[in-house]
Amino acid sequence: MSAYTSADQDSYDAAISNAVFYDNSKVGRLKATGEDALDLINRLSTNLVLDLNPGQGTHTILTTDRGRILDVIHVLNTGDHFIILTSPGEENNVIEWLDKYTIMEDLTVDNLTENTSMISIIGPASSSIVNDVTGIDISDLPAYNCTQGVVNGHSFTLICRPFADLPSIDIITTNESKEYFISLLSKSGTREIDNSTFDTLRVEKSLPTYGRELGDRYNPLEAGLIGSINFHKGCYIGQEVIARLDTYQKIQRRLVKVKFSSTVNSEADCVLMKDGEEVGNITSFGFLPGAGETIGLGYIKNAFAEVGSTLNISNDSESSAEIISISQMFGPGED
Amino acid sequence: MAITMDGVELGVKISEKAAEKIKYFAEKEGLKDNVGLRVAVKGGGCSGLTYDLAITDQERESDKIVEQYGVKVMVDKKSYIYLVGTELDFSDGLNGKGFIFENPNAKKACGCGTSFAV
Repeated sequence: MSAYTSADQDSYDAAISNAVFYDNSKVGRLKATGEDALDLINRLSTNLVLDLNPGQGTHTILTTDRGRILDVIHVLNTGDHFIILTSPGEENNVIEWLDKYTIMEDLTVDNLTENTSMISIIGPASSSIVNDVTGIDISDLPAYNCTQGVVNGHSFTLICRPFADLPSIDIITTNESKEYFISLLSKSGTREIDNSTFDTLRVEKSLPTYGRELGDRYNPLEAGLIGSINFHKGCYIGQEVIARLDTYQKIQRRLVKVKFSSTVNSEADCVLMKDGEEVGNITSFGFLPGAGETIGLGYIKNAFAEVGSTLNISNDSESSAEIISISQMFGPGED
Repeated sequence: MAITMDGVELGVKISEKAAEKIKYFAEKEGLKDNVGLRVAVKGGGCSGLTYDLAITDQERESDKIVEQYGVKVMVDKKSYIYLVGTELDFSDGLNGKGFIFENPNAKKACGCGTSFAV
């Protein structure tokens, strides 16, 4: 069953045209230390993380030996240690996975999720707002890189983590300092968005989330995560399966964004049909009140995943769904 | 802790051909005495665990050591759990050149044979 979320229109508009902030503390935050941290993560995940210098970071996917998604993580080198951002609620699974494959390696992983907070500032003005709040100019900070600072005794880490095509900066700080930053953001006139608006923004930007579009039922190619796969780095768990799927074009389904012709019943499983054949299902819904549009993300059989294609909805003859884009969270991948 | 079967301690065995190759590589690296092969298991590879080999003359106190055909196979305690009962051979046939592991603990191996799952 899919959850239905509706955006607060003013908040949604602010995110698109200016910036908003969101309490993103449910994202898992791990602290990894040890000489072998990057080497091990490199051996367990799809992207090249081995050469991350202090301040640098990247996204990568932990995959099972069947090439399925364990989690999409972000790895950042602070210079002193490594930060691993996991999907919400997946921090312990990631710790267990890393621990399972830590044999002789020098690696210690601490879960900081409960003891820290994370605020995401999303929108075109996010960089200047963060500058006003922290005094740090991050306008030139490359995507997925990080920097650290202290303002009025409140220490923080800034991570540049784009929200699809919207700039976005994460502030990680202690739980005690969280209210300090929220207070400054509010004073700056930055609007806080609720879960529904955040989730609608996520659907609008075709960003998959764990439990709905990501998880061990899917492989990274189906989920549109090819931009986080390095096909030249050598072996990692699941590499053989993923390389074979890519080489022989054996992807069975693709994650797409659809626009519905009218409001649909999201309380029931939304199955998409073509000429009487079941071709996919919707995993997330969103409603844009300004445009009056219901949108969704879902997996569609590869043969039917064409932009512009219109699909029928099972048990709802009044509505249809048009595929408007194929999801590519981290871009199109290597040439 | 040693892993035994019918009172006999299980270890890592090597073939005569593998031993010859270990000596050959050791000589190339300038090692003459106490020549051995350190065999370890690391996370990674397509199937989850991969073998790590190094020619060495350095033993560690906690190593499990098997000496055959004039060379030593040294295995650290943690890797020993994954390698117990393994036979190491060397192939230079048409299907590939290199050390080959016959690991009874491996339930699954990747296509190239360099990684395994238990």
